[in-house]
Amino acid sequence: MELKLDGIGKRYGKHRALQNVSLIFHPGIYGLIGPNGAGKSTMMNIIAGILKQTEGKVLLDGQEAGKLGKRYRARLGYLPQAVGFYPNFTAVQFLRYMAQIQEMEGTAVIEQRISELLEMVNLSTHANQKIGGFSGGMKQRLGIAQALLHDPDIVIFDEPTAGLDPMERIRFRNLVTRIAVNKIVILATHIVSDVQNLADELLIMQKGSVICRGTIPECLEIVNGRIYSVHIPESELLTFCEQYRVTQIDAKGEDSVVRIVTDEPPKGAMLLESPNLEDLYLYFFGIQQQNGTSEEL
Amino acid sequence: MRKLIGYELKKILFHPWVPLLFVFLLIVIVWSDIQVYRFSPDYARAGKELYEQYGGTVTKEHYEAIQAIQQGEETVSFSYFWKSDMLTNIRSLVSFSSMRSGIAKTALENVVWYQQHEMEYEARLNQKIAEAYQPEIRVQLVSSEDWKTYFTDNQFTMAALLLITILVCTIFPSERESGCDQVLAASATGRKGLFWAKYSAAMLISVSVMFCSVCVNWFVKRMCLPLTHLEVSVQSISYFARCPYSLKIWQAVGIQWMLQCVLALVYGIMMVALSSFFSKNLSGILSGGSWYLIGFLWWAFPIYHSGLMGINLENRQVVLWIEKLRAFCFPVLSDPEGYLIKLQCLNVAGYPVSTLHCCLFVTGIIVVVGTVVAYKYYTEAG
Repeated sequence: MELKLDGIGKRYGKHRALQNVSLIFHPGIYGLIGPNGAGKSTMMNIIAGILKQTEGKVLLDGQEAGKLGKRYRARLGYLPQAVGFYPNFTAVQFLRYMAQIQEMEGTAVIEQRISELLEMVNLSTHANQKIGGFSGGMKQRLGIAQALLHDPDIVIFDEPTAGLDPMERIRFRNLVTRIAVNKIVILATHIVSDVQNLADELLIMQKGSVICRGTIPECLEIVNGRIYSVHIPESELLTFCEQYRVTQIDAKGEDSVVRIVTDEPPKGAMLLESPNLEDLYLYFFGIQQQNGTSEEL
Repeated sequence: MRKLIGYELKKILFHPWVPLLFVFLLIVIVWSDIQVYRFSPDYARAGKELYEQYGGTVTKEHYEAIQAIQQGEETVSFSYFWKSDMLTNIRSLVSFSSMRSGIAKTALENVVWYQQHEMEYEARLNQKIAEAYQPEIRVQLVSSEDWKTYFTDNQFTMAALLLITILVCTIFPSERESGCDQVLAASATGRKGLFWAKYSAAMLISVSVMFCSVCVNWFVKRMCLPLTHLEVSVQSISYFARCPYSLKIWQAVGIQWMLQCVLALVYGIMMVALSSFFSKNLSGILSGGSWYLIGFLWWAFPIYHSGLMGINLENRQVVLWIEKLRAFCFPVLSDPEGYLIKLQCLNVAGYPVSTLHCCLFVTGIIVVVGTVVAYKYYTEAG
């Protein structure tokens, strides 16, 4: 199975939300990270067929997704960023409805699948409770369940762990690892630790383009040798933080241990650290987030 | 598809706001009706007196007495703006009968014909009155037999249309607002499949409610004796032919057309306003299909409106209020003192021609535009 984005672009008037994105996905888990407005959701929506690209093609096994129509959508599971539900439906009713929408057949098969999924997302005890009474996390879990209901080949999760508590996030990660066999799973998130633990491959987006792609070690290589820990006295901390991209501050007595990402190491005592995804994220977007611009990157 | 329609029905019917708002609207309808009657002359008592006077059997003398009442200036509005079905006998003589005027003749044609054949017409009329004499027929709860009355001539119709509005107004826009539509759009069924499921569900609800409404109205009508033996439409035409306004009959018809078109649009706007109670996204409401579905059925309202306006006119405060509004919208019609006469002319001259055609015309536009917009709105990817 191969999902190919061939020169995808999306314009909203003069604004280019996505420009000339060409990617090939094979079965595996792909983590998509980037700041707000980078084009992650636009790309997800185009893959899901919700948005129509202004340029390029989405191809599944060499056939254009738009022409495949129902045959393409039947292989797709999608959890959008802000998913809504019917408050007067129970979780089971909603999943039954989604089974109809996904044109699943066989009542027994559907019921079995619903039961399995509710167990997987830890909603079995709330199966017959109305969705209107669900918390944000419960709704998110139900959204995950509906995306996996028809056992799709391509699963798209847009901010899947938003609103989930740490326990549920771990559960989600385990669930994705379990279901990802022979599937293309694309995860868009701000929570880089989710990607770090899950993704086989990383995609970093900025201003509608993919600026980095590779396995996590490959991507981390970019910032290898640029991560340092520095002991900074309390009195100098503020000034130091303004000068460097700081990923972490550990206050230890009068001194603080500050982890920074930088091309030029500061003078004085320092320790070279091994990089993680947060460092990588900050390397690309730290100044942008600080200054509201990415011109200096 | 069958199951999807079932789910759409479930989504609509189990909306928690539906029963509450429907009860509220029913209360408003009843309350407004009570208010109208409170400020109106006591027609129930007047009707009872009439009934006692003419009750039992219809004789030629009774009929002539009714005719005499019509000639009196004071009772013109009385006979014209009657609302209660119990007293529709009077109204039928004067107003509704114009819809049944002659065989395959419109009221307009009758006026022209009458002007040309006055003498012959009078003779024929007298003959008809003589034939209409049926001493054993009890005149009570008499009503018009026109098919339109089954759709319009009952408060239940108003409630039914409101119910439809409430039920279907969220069917298209709600999911787009909640974000659920993205999940549905990416499903195997897709946008087009969902559109038709929703559309079918809404149509099913609309037709079902209207069917109930028609059944209720039919049942009410069955309680009445038809006025088939008193075919006096020609008489009412002759009455209005003597009215100076009938000379400007084309003008009257034109105004009536315009008025009904505007009314149909006003009702559409009312529907949108009602929908907006449920939906935050105005574009969703306008293009979401509920506009079309309600528009499809609102054509009945301008017909019903004649009765409502008539009732309101009995209340002078309301008349003044309406007249102020009319003065703003239609200067040509702003004439509180002469309005009743004008309205009579409009009703007789324009009623059979304009109401149905106007409504069908406006509804046709709504149907075509609404369907295209709703389909594009719901099925096209962004």
